Amino acid sequence: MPLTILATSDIHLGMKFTGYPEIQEELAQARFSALQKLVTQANEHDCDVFIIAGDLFDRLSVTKRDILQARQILGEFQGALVAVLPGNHDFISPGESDLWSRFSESTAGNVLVLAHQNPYPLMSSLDIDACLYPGPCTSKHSSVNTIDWIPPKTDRDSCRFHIGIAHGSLQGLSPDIQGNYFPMTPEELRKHELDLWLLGHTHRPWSQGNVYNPGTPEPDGFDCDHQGSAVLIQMQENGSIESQSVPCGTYLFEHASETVESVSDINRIASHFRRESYQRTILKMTVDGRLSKTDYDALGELRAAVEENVKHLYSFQSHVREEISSGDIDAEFTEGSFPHRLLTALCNDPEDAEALQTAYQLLGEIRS
Amino acid sequence: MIIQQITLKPFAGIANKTLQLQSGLNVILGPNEAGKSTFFRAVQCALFLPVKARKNSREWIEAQRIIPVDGDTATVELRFTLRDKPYVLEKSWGAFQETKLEIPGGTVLRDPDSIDTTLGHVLPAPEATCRSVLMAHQGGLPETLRHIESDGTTAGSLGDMLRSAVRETDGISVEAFKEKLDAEYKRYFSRWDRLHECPENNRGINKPYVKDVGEVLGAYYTMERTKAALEQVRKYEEERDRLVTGIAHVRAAMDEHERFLEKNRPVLESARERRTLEAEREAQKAGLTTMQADNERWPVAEMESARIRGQLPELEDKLERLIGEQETAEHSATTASLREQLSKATAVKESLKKAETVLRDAPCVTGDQIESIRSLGERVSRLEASMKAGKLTLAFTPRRSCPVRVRRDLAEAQDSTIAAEEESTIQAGRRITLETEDWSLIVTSGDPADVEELQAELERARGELTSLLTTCKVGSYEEARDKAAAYATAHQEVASQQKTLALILGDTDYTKLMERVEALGPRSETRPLSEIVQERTEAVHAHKEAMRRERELIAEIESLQETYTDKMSLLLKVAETATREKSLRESIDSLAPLPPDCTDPSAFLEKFSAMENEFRSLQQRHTELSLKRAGLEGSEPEESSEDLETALVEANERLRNIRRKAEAVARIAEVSDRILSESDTDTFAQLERELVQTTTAMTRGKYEEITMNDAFLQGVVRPDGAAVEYDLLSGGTKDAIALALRLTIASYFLRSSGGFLFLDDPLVDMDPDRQAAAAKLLASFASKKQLIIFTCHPSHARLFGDGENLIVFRGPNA
Repeated sequence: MPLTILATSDIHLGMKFTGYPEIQEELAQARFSALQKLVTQANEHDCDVFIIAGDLFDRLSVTKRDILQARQILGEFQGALVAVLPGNHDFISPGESDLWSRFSESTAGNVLVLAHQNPYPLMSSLDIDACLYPGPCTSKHSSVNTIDWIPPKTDRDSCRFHIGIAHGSLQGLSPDIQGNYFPMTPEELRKHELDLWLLGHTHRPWSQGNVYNPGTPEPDGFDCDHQGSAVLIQMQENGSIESQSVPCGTYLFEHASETVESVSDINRIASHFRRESYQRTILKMTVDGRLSKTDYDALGELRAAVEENVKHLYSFQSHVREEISSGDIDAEFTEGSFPHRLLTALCNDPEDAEALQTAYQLLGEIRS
Repeated sequence: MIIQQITLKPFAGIANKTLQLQSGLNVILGPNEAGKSTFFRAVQCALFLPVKARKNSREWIEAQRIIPVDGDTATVELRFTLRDKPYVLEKSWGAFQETKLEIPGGTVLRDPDSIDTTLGHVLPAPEATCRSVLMAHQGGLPETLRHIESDGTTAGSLGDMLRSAVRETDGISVEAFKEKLDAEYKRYFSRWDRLHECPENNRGINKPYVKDVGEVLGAYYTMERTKAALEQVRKYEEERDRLVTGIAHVRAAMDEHERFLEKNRPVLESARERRTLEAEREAQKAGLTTMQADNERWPVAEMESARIRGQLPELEDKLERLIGEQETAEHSATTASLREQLSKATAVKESLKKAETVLRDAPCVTGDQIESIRSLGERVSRLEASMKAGKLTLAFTPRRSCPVRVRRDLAEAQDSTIAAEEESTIQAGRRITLETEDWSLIVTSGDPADVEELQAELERARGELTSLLTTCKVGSYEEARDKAAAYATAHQEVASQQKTLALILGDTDYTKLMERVEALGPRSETRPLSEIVQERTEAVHAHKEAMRRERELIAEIESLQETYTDKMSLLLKVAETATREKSLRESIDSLAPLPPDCTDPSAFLEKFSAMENEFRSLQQRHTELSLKRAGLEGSEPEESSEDLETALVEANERLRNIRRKAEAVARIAEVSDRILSESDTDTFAQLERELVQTTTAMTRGKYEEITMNDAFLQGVVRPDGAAVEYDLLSGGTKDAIALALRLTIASYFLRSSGGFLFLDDPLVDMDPDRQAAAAKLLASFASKKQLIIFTCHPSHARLFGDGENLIVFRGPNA
């Protein structure tokens, strides 16, 4: 029988978003919504197993309400099993009273916390011909990954699908310069000869061969420049794997860098951000370029236009400079006058471009 | 640049109208709203207003104002010359937008940029200068003066005032700018040490400034606080990782201990019993081994004891025999010594006897005698030598043979026969005596008496020597000496032998010794004493060893008897112990087995106890670590390290941006200060002279000097030297001064090119005399530059002379 899995990770329920006070609550709630959407999608696709490859929760100290809400959502999964791997943000302390003991207290029978480094055969209890090999995190940081325990192929019990689940950085995919996030290499994954690997930690979706990193279902910052998704995987009897991305995010984080050279650029950019999709976008915008004096005033309109259309304009950083030539200075200020002399002096050195712009603005403010 | 014609077709409120201008003075007279200002504005628009502008921009709004109400396009055509060469500029705004410039030669430029470039070359001054100086409304002049009056920091002299007038021509007060710039500088750099790029007094976030924190410092504090918070969170996370890892290790160890304890607790009691039984069994086995050994040993000891007891008499007999033999050997050794002493004494005695015989037989020549013999011998020898010391030769030849006796010196006379005619030669020392039968011949050397005396002394000496030798029974001195030596040797030998004999005899004498030896009887034969002594020593040792060993055996046997009473009892005890040992072994075998890796119950029990203790320690350690973790997590930071890393990147970026802007402000301040400190005294000294001349002319000599205090225009000085304060001057005088200032500045900007100056009612508020003077001055200006004056006062227009220069406007479209 084929096996259908909905795989996700890094949901980070309980994330606080303190850097976004205006939309903090909405962003936090969106993560529960993403989980809810995934459960619904999994049910619609008749998934057998719903797997979370770490960081279901953002921190160990999530509120009881968040735990109950997560439990309630996961409880709606109609398949055989929800398997939750503790990640580095919600790591487990085996044998101790912790987040996972509280979570387990509130979960029904079809939710399994993959707490230990040992095989979890699913045949006897769930009639699924598969075995899970989890690498649960037991701390936030570690220079050692959690998959080394997995027995070689010859020592494993027989079953159709051998599925590894781990949380940590993967060489070539995740930035982990100091190797503090349970680092793994593609060679290590291959060495275990499993049928499928499901990884968590890196929020960007990625897959290669039989290794899937679903990424976060709900973007959580500007280093997360995708729409949020999970992955639906179908493992066939013959060993082939089919997969499809399942979009589920509500908000997008985008860092837009634009260059303007004329008012038409400003109009084009303003028009671009009027699209409906930007109503769900938290935008950080950087604009640079040079505008003529006549076009420069329109820059303020751009900000207003963008701010009006996006969900939240996190920042608007303008490095745009007014194009001020010596001809412009002559046209506007009397030769020999102080403004004329000041601006002309600053106009001579390209390194004074910022000073020239600022001086011009100050003079304009005084004149007005 | 001389404007020749301005055509509006249409422009603002004027449908179509042309204004012709001359190169010198042009006076345009018309009532208010007649359209004078429209022409003024049309020139400004033609020269400076682009036809295309972004909607709602300043230029666009300005263009909207000039589009006629009943039309959609405004157009101006401006004809002008530059060095007598014609140009035609035409611009249209609104629905139809066009710019074109016909340049000398007939070429028409239509590209706005090319047109602007060309205009830039033909205009008398840049746009702003034209707007602010050459085309300004008159009303702007008092404003300039008001700036000058209030600008106490820049106008320290008339030159400064002019400088300020030029600087502030655009209506921007340097002071206001500086204030604004200072405020900006403060806004950015307040409490920031720009030189050292740190907070003032290096006050970091541990003791931060609260008031007057500039944007740079604010951003710096934010960045530092974020960095500190990140460090704090990292420490928190590291500490928590350390604790949870520690707890996990302790938990794993506890689990391992617990598994061991649970698994092995069931065999704990049997292990304890096994330890007791095995200890007793070991004791039984040890006792049995001892008893078996004793059982074997007991008869052997008894037999050995008996054997030793049997050997003892034989050993004692041998010892006794050896003692007797030793005594005999010792006696024999004593008699042998006496006999040897006698033998040695006898031999010495014989030698003594022989020596005494030799001594007795040896002539005794004394030392004196030997000396006398030697002395006499030497005397004889000396006398003989003296006798022989002469040299006598006697030669003769007998006639006939004859016997002769010849005596030479003291020698014996020799007889011989000398043949006839035979020459005979006789040689001697001092005396030759030749005797024949017939005669006797004595020949001497020297005085015969001396020879005689010498010979007599020689013969005496010889006689004494011969007598002494005879006495001593020797023939010569050498013999006498040898005999004396032989005598001394014999005497010494006797003394030596006597001494040896005395040494051998000791305190006895030879006779007594001989009697004692004779009393000993014959000599007896024994073994060497050393051999006997060696054998006796060995025998004593063997006897002692036998005695010691026997005592040991007796003690051993007595001990066995004491332990077991008798051999039978011992045998019974052996059987009893063997039975007990077997019983214990069976009991041990029936106990629960120890864990497979454990063979020693004591070691097992020790390990179990150690594991129990370790488990308790681990539990305690686990509690401690868990409490620490709970305490730590009680102060969990709001944000994670990942959140703060992102925040720190943003804080750093913000600080960079703010510092860039702040540095721009600092750069502006630097350039501003440099510009304001630059000296252009010469330029303004000339202007100052011109201003004074113009002012004097304008006031018709009423005031000849402009006075300045340290700060601003103070007033003017009359020809009689009286100074009138500026505030006390009439409005007309003030306007005259302002007009003078305007003309001076216009002259300054038009100093190197031809050009135009627009003036709007410049004579308002002046009294008639001053108006006349001003008109004269303006006419003088117009003789050099194109001057276009707008006025609504016919009387003012008349002041400028004939009607050639006068253009009368009657209405916008009249």
